[in-house]
Amino acid sequence: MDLSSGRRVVVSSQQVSCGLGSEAAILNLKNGVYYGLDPIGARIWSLLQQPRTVAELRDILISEYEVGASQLQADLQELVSRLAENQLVEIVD
Amino acid sequence: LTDVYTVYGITLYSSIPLDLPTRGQGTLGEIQLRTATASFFADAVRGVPLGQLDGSWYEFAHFSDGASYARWDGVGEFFVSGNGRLVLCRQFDAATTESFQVYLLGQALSFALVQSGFEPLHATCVVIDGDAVAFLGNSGFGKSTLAACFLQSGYRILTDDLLLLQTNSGQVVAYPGPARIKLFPPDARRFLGSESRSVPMNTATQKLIIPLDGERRWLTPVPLRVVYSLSRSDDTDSSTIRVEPLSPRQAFLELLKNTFNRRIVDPSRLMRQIQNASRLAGLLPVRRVSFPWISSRVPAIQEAILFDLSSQASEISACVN
Repeated sequence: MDLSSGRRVVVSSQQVSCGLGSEAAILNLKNGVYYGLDPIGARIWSLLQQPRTVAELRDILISEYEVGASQLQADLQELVSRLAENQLVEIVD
Repeated sequence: LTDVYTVYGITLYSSIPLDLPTRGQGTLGEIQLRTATASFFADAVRGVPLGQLDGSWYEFAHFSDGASYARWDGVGEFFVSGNGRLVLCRQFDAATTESFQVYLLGQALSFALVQSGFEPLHATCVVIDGDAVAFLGNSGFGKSTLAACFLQSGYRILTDDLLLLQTNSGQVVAYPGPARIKLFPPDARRFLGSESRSVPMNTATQKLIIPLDGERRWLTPVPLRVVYSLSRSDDTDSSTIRVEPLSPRQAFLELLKNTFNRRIVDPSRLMRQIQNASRLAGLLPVRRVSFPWISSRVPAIQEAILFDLSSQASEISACVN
């Protein structure tokens, strides 16, 4: 998936989510499937409530977690790709 | 002729005599129950594809205006208007009145409740020290059997199968259902004695419908104190009964899994469902009870729950002091 620097991640209008303590759940309204997010995933999901690039996400999260930049970048790409595959976010130019 | 009844906090205006309280007023909403002819139902579903789960004797359909149709062989058929305010029904000749009313006031009414904006849960509820305690779990996990064990110990049942909740100022209130319990004959004999009146539920199960008299039923809304999700283990070698708190996410999933009506899946309902489950998960303690399913252990499960409730009360008391 092309998540190069200028492309923004936008949450889909066909989902609804809720916070559950430090975690979160997302419901895909198209297929009725629920997805769970652990505390770090829930933090990223909260950041995505406004459109951001993966680079912007990385710059915010690098100060919040003890993680290397390359590892964080890879983990972010994987999560965003999975969110997109499940139609929970869209990647726009 | 229309009689006025109350169940789940709802006022029912019914042309069918129902085994429900006629006193009091359901304050949450109003639903009309009317009979309709076989030709009405035949016309209503003509050309409409009926859904059916594999091996099920239950057929259903949805219409573009939100109306629903459901039918159980040997029991009856039901049409629920899109706004949920009207249920039309027809009892099949083979059905007993008791069996028909179980489906009318459970499955069929759940369509009307959901269409009216409620989110019923598949749960059985007993009243302990003036508070409701709910049991969640798949069919066959022992919700009603456990409730029958509580009955034997002198506690009362608030509802068996469908639980309607409302949140008022942060307090979750549970509403009473029909005064009956559904049990298999051995459990009925064991916990309620052989003198209990009963009627077979339908030809596909040995389950009995057992009416509950005034000493065994609870007729008024009560605060819901805790939800126990029953988790049945196949490991009958283990005798351990464990009660543990669920995280908000686990509680949310348990509440979602135990939604009463899974046939209505339009986006507005799904959105309401997620909002409702997340709100309840934040307001209510939801605890998992894991146990090996051995019927002789049911009193021990009851004891574990009562101990857990008293421990929670002690914790609250300690916090207050």
